[in-house]
Amino acid sequence: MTPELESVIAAFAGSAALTSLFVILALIGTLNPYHRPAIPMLGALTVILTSTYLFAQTAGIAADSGALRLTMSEGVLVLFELLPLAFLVFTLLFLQASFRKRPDDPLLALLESESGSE
Amino acid sequence: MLFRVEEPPQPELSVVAAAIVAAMWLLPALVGSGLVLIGAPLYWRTRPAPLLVGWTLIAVAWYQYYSTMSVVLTDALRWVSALLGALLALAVFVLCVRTAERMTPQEPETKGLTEKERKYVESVLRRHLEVTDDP
Repeated sequence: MTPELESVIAAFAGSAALTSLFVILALIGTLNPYHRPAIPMLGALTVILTSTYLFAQTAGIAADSGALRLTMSEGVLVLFELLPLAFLVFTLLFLQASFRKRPDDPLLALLESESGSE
Repeated sequence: MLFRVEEPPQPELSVVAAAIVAAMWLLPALVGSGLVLIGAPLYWRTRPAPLLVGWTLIAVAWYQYYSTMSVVLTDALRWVSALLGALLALAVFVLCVRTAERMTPQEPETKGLTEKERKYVESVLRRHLEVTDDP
């Protein structure tokens, strides 16, 4: 397996595992008596374990707690790589917001014309 | 202890190093974004000073990013792969929530109010709506 392909698979597994970890944290943070978090929690755990297994197989290491830490670290690293993309989108939105002009309001125009004629 | 003094082990050490490198452009980006939001005419009132300082910081953040980072084709593949990974995790979560909701037994239909309850609700509504019985 080429190092490039290995890196791409590691990014996939890392981001899937990290997103599932965020999901688990969100489930814990929103616990209430009407909540049924067991199935979503199991699903998120399955994604984390499968991603760790995939990462370990790709890297040729044992699928243990060390592989889990490596997968999560890879997830954080790839998140840092994605931040500039998000910032690019936000920069464009800020540009749009900075040059915003008030749209012509027909009711205000009517009011001004009426007050001018009096 | 809030701050660790000793160095973290690998692989966390590489994460800390990446966070420090990213902070060089992330900090001006965050402060600049906040200032632009304060200064932009979102409610038809512009504040030129924060807007100008904000855009300067955003420009500094982009300059800092391009002077410290180098983007190659493999990075784009990694980005797409990471987005797909995150989407997969979210799709699994949505499916699990849907399954959990389908497995939840439906509550029986609520019984209608008794005469006593009906009179009580009516009196509460009358009091709040300030309706008098007199015509």
